[in-house]
Amino acid sequence: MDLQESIDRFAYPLTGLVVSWGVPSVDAAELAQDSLADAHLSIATCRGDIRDPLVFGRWLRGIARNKYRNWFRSRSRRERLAASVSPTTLDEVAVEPVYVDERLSRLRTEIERLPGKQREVVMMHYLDETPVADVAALLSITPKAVEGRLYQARRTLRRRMDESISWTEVAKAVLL
Amino acid sequence: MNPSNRNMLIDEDEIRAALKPWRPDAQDFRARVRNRIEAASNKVQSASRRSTDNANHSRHSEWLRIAASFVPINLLGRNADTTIMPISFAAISLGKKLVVVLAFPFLCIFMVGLTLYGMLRIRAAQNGQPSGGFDIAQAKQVTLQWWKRYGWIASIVFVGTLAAPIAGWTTPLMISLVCSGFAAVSFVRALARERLVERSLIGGMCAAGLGLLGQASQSLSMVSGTSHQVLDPNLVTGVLFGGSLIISAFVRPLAWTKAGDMQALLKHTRDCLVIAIVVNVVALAGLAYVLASYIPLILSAIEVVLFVAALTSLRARIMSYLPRVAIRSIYLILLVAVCTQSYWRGVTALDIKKQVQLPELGQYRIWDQWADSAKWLSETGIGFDQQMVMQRVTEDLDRGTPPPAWILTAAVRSGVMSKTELLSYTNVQADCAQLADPQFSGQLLADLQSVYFRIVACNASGELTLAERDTLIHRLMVNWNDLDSNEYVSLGRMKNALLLTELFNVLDPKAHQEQRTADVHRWLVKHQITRPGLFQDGGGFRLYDQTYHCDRRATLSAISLMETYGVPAGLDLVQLRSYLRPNFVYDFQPYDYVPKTISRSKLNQIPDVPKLSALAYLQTESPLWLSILLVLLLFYATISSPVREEVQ
Repeated sequence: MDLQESIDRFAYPLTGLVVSWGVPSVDAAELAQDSLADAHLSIATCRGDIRDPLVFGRWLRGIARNKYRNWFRSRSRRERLAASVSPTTLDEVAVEPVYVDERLSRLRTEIERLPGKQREVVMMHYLDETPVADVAALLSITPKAVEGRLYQARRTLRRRMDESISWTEVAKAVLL
Repeated sequence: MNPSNRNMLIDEDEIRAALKPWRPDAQDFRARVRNRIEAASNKVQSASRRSTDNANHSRHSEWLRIAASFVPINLLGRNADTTIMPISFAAISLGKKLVVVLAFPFLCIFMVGLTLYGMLRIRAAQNGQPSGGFDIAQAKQVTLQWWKRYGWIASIVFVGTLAAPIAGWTTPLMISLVCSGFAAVSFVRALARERLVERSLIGGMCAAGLGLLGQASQSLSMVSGTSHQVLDPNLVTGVLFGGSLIISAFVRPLAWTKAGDMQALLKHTRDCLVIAIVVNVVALAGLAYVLASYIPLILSAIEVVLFVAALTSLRARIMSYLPRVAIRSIYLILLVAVCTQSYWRGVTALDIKKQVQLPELGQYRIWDQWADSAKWLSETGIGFDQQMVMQRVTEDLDRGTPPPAWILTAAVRSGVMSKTELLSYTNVQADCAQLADPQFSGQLLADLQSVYFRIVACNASGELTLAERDTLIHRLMVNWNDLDSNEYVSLGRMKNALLLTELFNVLDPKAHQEQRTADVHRWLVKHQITRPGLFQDGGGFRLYDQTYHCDRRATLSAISLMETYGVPAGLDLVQLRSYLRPNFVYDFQPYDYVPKTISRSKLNQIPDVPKLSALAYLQTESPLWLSILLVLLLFYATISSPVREEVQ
């Protein structure tokens, strides 16, 4: 699998996968880029037929997982650095506030609250028009399993979005 | 999926819309992946180059490389190739690792072990010594006999030490220190055989011996030649003199009670001390002449006064007023303060900052050197008062001396001049047309200092076309190739290579990079002085091919080149570090200490240069550790000896 093909095929689902692990989207894109670059540079070390998307996908996921672990370990250090930045600097670098649709914002929150396996497939499939087969290749599961998880996730999301006010929100409102 | 099911599921478009903010830009994503691959490939190529360099080191046997990792380099011999790269512990087989683990205590056996052995021999010799009085005349007789028997060895070592600048500083001093340890043990044993061990006698000899060694080491530190130390060599002098003072504070010299100073001081010792003082004074006078400074002369005068005072009744008069221990303590504090001043009063970035901001900057004249210092301050983030400096730059430009081109080049290199200010001083269109004229593309750019700022201005103006840029790069390359054949270029080869590199970095850092790297590596190895002449420093870089002394400016330029092109395989980093070590005798003039301090700082920041580990200090500073151990041995020999009353 050449570089162009691997990027076209796995760039978005890989980014979505890393986001589903709880990494902010900007960092997730960086980790995905690092993973793809590393995969290309060390392609000779991949065991199995590299042209097989299942083999390449599993290998790429392993690289991304290691990158994520390193990122996670260094997160506390970065948080300390971030805390040491003066408020003025933060104001300077802050972007203009974007007024977004409240419903979409709530949907994003609900996606983040999905169970891990459902969240993974939602992020990977819907971040861009990624075919189910590529998502399955990256997760080393069958396309049917991906479809099943997507179905479960969409149903969960519908149910939660239709709830006018959740009990948790009521409790928060009372307490706060 | 039936309609009822569809109503149970959230709309896919809605999910896509919700996730849209998290979607990275496809083109940007691709470009970033490619950039990462390119950067990693460059790194791999660089590593491959380094591994090729390492492969060159493999011409040395693996055992030699293992030895280089654990044995003080100077012990490998005067002619040992100090560029032997120590092997990594992880890179050797299990059997060899075992040998290395067993060989590791070598340093301890050589230094600590030798000291402990000496202590045990002294202890054994002192056992059974009577506590009553002892015959001082007999003691002097035994001492003279010992001198007659072993004095020739001591004389050879002493003369050899004085002639040491031929062989460098490290090895002769180590031999002297080891021989002194053996001599001390032998002397105690000689007295013990006659049951004459006494603290004053032993302590007096030890203090005199250490004073002698201190003198020798101080003379040597001024004419260091080939050496491997990275700490101030005067620390060894301080330890030896300090030991002498401490031991003498614990003994009551025989001279004070009976016969007077001169009689107690053995003739041989006195003669050696006089020779050492004379050599030291001559060396200080020579240093004063070379450095055009009066400070070595003052040091020399103080030394002579102290020596004369020690040999005359002046000392006895002072002693009658001040307690002995108080006098020794004052001496000791002064000595420690002087010998360690490189560290507590060493040259700091603040000193360099002051130099860069000198009020008489206009008379400083040496704008090129000033630019190196200012550039370093800017690069390291220390900074300086740019506004004040810029005001002086303007004043000098108005005055017209030195040539404005040199000032402008210095101002551009140091970063004090903004793009707008630079463009206001130049006629960019004319300069671009003249410098990048295709018909001159094969011609040298005469006087780089004069054209440097004009090339930078052309580039900064944005008016340089691609064709003009290519012509300029071609002309820079003509100058570069000329450096290979024409070694007598103004400012030296290293400086010109540095200026050209900076201009390449402005126009196109990748232009002819491989050729430039190969050339610079060759020049660096060729210009480093690893076999200095008599009374010359080694380890630094020469200005021209045919010169035989290290030049601090050329060394600074060479290290700046290493920042860009890496460290070549054949370069002797140990000697280079040693050349750049602090030495308070030398480091009192800005002309000397500024380039040296900057060079040291830059060298430590180069990724290819290994950081100095504790083991490295153990290896390179063996004279210092040996001198400390010798002081301990002699101190032990003194205080373990009984105090006895003399019987005439």
